[in-house]
Amino acid sequence: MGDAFEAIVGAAHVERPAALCLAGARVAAVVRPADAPELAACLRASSELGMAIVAYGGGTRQHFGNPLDARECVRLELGRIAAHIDVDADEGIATLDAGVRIGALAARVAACGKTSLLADLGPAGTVGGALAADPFGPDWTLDQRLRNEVLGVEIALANGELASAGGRVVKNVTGFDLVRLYCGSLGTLGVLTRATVRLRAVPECERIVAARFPSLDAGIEAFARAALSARPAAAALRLDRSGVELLCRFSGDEKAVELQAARMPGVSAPLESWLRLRAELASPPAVGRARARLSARPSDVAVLCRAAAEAAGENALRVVFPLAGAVVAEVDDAELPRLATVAADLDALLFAERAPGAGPSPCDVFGSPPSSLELMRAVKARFDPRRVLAPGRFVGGI
Amino acid sequence: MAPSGPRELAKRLRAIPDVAEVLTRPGELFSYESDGLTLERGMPLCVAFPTTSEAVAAIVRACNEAGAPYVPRGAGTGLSGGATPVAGSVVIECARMDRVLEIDATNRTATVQPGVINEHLSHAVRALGLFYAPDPSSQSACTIGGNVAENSGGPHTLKYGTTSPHVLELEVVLPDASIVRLGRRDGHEHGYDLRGVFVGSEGTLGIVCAATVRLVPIPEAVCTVLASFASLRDACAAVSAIIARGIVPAALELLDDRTIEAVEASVYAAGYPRNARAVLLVELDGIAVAAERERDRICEICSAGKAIEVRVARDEAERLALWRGRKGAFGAMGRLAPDLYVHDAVVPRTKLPDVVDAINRVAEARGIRIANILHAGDGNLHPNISFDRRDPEQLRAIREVGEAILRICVDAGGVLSGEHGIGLEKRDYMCLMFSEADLAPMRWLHDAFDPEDRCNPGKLIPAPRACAESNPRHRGYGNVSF
Repeated sequence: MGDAFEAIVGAAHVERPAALCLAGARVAAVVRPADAPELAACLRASSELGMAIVAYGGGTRQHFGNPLDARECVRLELGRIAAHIDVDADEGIATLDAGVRIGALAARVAACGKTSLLADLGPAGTVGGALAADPFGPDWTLDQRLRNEVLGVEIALANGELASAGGRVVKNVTGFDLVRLYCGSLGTLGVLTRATVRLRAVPECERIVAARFPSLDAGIEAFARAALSARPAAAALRLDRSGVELLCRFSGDEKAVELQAARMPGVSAPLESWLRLRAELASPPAVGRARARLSARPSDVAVLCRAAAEAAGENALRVVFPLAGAVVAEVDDAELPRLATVAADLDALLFAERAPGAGPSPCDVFGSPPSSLELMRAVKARFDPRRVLAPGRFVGGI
Repeated sequence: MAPSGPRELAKRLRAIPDVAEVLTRPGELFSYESDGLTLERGMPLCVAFPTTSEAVAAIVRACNEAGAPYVPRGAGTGLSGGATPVAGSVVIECARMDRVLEIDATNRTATVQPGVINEHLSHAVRALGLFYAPDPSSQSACTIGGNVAENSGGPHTLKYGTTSPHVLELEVVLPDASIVRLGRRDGHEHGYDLRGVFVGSEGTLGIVCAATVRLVPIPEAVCTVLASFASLRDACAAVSAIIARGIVPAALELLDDRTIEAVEASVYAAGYPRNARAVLLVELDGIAVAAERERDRICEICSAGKAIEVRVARDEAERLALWRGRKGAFGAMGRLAPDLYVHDAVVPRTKLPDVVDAINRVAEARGIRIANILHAGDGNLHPNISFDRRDPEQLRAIREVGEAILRICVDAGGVLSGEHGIGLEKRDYMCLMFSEADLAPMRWLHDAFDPEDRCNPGKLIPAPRACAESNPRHRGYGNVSF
């Protein structure tokens, strides 16, 4: 099997580890293509061999998704596909190889006075990995979604072809919006090899306002009262042993930020408090533990909190995002089905992260499948007819 | 379909509960043979007016059983032939599905049927301090369902985005006549983003029967600036300077001298300076203190950038007048000739002046005068060509210039459409941008939704052979200089 990949990338770039597992499957080979055409050829070989393949960037999000529906797999690393970083500050776009580290991207765009939603993710991750996972973070709002910032991609498909979608301009309705289909698909439709993303100006001012409350309900109520006029960019209620801390992030014009921040109860806090929250949510849960996010409408968060606390205990609740309508709880792996039941009962969405290398999941980490699951399966069947691209990892075992 | 098929099918459609009307007489069908792109026409078999999702599903089922293709349609204001029926299609006219089903002020969402008119939705939620942000120029007539199908934009797309990021959940009738929901009303994703690919699919993947959309708080302050320039190049340079300073206006529109001339001679006259070769209409909104600071910076940038005049709208009446001119510009051009071809393409915004020059040169060489309206902030051009389609020579020239415009834009690193979609108009030019390998996933996606190819057939995706024939590389004129 390894010979097919050696013929594509050279023997020096194929490794056969003795005892390496990935998403519950034995890694038969680690393959490191030099460029996108080599990567695409690896996918074709994988399809011909019927061998499951998992794209691997920085490895920071490999704990996402269900266990692989295969006994063994090839780990396809993108580390060598990282040379191209083209920042066009005048156009406000950057085109990046998928293996480019987020840290490298952040440094390059910052040097031009720009930033990107990608730059807010952990520096060790890669562009391709971040787009494939499209992770939720404390900054997520309906206005701040990573996939909205992706203008175009190049993707390697299971048939060995390289295909482009989207473009390199900031507005585009040319054909189906496949960029959105690929983002967040966990590498089950193809492997992203390059992307063009929108850049934003570094905000003139960023400020964090923190306030403490005796209970979660009090925090949610206080936020709801003040948020209408203060309009923070993002907000989080952190729960710890000493109570509840509301953190609100404001960014933009300095005078406007001052005005908005003054409308929110609390005092100014260091930006690090927000960065810490980002880092905590970006790290995988500890062994034997699971981190579950239940999402619904913003007005449903109080109900979600109560139901989650009832099912998993008050101490399970970690962070509540009142603007995003999301509740994050941490539980023992075995207790995950209880939260899945809460999500199903309240028509909330469940997304659970488990520790890297955790065994079989006690339930689908994506909770109950959506009504469009059959349509999703039909899409998967056409893009990956041999079912070799990260089989089983996505919603409903796709 | 069997020879008796059309009559039988119309009879069957009339019997479906919640189908308000079925038109079959040629005189009645005439209005439905094209959308706003009058270059392409096709006579439908009949036009059915459902009022519920179930009725849409029943119509689709009946069409499937009769082997008849069908075309969803809203107000017919589209500009790429997306709602133009291929001959013998059933038009499923959604205009009477026009109810606002729910307004959720707390979560800032509204759920509407597809026939709700864009502007009516903003009117319906204004008292709650909210509005629906996507604002196509046709917003007083176009429908939310049509906006979803085309992923419509508008002047305020620069800050607020096109329709897609404003759509949270869709109830759609699929080509197998099943009713499914795509996306979630809370905006959180669940699996592949089928909502995302459905928006902008031009009615080829199914029919929108309800949409839950985001509403946006009405900004605390709105400031509008009109800057006039002695050349389009100076105006474009000001646009680049504004973007480079990190300012994201709510809108950044550019009108050239021919457009100014048409507007000022019409009922939409807005007081645009007739001596200018180009005007920029810039709108800032948000927290008052920020909008005012940005307004001052815009005025500085334009003044430093060779503006002849920079004027700030003193009150709401003046602001609305300036916008009435911009939004009425397409209508104003209706005075120039019986037909108007509103082109649509996007280029990197730094290339706008070169591209506009190249387009004007190509058009003038064919004896055609173009009036340009640009969503300059995001590089979206609308070269407008007034013509008389009864003149075959004009028609031929229009098509040639239209094709040349696309080639110029793609060669400049741009794309075929920024907000009008591909439809019939640009279907065979998809290969200017995409290779066969790029188009294959679009066909796979389409096949997953509509394996029988009955839902709005012939739109958006070129046939493989058509692609080879239309690709300039195949035809030997791939390098058009500009």
